[in-house]
Order: sequence, then structure tokens, then C-alpha cells
Amino acid sequence: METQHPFLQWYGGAIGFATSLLGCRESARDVVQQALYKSLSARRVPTDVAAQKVWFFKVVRNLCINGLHQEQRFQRHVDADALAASFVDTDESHERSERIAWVRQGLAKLTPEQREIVVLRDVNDLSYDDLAEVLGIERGTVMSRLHRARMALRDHLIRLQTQSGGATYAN
Amino acid sequence: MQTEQQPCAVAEELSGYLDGELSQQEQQRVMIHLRSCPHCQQLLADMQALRGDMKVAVHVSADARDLPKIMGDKPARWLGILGWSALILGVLLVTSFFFWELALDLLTNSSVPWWVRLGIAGFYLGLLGLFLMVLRQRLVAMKTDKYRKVKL
Repeated sequence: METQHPFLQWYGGAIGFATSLLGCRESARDVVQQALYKSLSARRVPTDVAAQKVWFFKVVRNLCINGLHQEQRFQRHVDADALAASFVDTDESHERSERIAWVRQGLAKLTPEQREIVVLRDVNDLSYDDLAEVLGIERGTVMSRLHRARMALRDHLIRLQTQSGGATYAN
Repeated sequence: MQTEQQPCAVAEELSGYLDGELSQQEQQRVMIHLRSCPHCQQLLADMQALRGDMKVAVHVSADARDLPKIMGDKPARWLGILGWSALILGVLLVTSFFFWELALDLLTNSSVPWWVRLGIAGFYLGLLGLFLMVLRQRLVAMKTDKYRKVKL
């Protein structure tokens, strides 16, 4: 059994993050594999684990931006339904709850900036300092952007919940 | 879940509070506010629930079939380093040899007029200078973070 590469611990979260930017699970998987390959060939990879995580997510983000550039999709509106569907794990054997489906739909309706920050924080547990480093923004901007993203997501969920006449979201 | 939106003064700090990213003083301020504001209490509870659901909704379980085979392929990495080193060494040696021979020829070959030799030397030095200029520009560009202010 070969030893596990340290970067593989962030594999699942990184695919979720790349999917949130690219809107396609397959492209996201390609990007994350490229990032993993880069971690092998790059000369200056940090030795500290926390810095490695920031480095890795930065590489994944940059590769996503490259991919978006190549496809000239900056001006294109990503289809929210397709994006929500791309979050569904192919190995998901059981039906997730309605609430999870709402979260995916709500997430797909956010702007790319909001989506990336909320996924990096809530799924990948990056600290505010790490978020500032990965996204290239000030730490103060991180908190306000993240809060606006969460509020927008909450608003979408309230709307979806009202439309379906379902139970209260936060219960 | 409340829908009316009259944001409190600490509304934005609620995210920081939830994530444990506030200073002690700010945290205290939010805590005191929370005691007397049911709206913010609800908001905090919603965000907390949302955070848990996000992990389930987005996180992908790492499947062994997905994991790239290259991760454990150390020989490939060493072969890559070896290949690049050999290539760079070879290019350096051949280039040095070429310029050495050229310089010797230009200095000793008196059958060619001096101004032609000077022209040839200028031509090759010019090419070398331009190559080094482009190389330097590329290296500087590599160190610049071109993704920093990209608008998504």
C-alpha cells in the first residue's frame, strides 16, 4: 500500500470548490488532479500544513480561472439547475433530504464570488486569513463578503422553502 | 426563520462570531447584543444550520478510484527532474561551445574583413541579448500573481 499524499486530505473539498466555480463535476475533477500533479512538480511548495492548504486551494482556484478563461465563460450565465445537479455525488446511494437539495439550488443561484467564499469557508474550513490569501482580498473584506453570501443563500432558501410550502429551514 | 430585514449594528459580525474570528472585545459585544435580540439569535441559528448542511451538500467523498495514480509515482518525478537537468546542461554546453568557437573564429580569421566579423558578432550578441530580455520578462511574469484581481 503506497503512502497517502498529504494533499489528498483536501481532495473532496477541493472538488466541491472547483465544481462551485466551474459548474461541472468532471472539469472540477480534472482541475483538482492537475493541482495534485502540480503539488508534485512545483519547486516551492510550503512545508507547513496550514500553508500547504492555502497553496493548494490557490492553485485549484487559479486552474479554475484558467479553465473559465479558456472556455470564455466569464460572460456566460451558468445554468443554476445544471450547477446544482453537479454537486450531487454520483455515489450517493440514498436520496438526500429536501433541505440539502435546497442548499444546492440556493448555492447555484449565488454569484461566483459568493459561492467560492462560502464553499471555501463552510466546506473546507479555511480561516479568514487563509481566505484573504487564497482570494487575494483584504481580511476585512472576507467577513463582509462571507456574511453577504450567507445572507443571500439564506434568502434563496427562504424563497425555495416558501415556494414548496415546506417546513421551516432552520429547525 | 424571520424574513423581515432590519439589520442590527452587529449583523455583519455575526458571521465572524460564528466562525470564531472576532477579537475578544468584538465577541463580547456580539454576545451582549445576542442576549437581547431574538432576530440575531435566529440569524445565528440559521447560519449555523446552513454551515452544517453545506458540508453535506457540497463535499465529495474521496473515492479511491478517483485518486490519481500519479500521486505515488515518485520515479516519474525524479525522472522529470533528471530530464530537465540534463536538457538544461546540454543546452548550456552546446551554446557555450558555439559562442566560444564563433569568438575564436571571428578573432583569428583574417581572411574575412574586420567589419564583416564585427557585424556577425553584433548579430549574435543582439540575438543573445533579445533572448535574455524575453527570458527575464517571462521570469518576472511568472512571479507576478496574475489571478489577484480577477473578476469572476
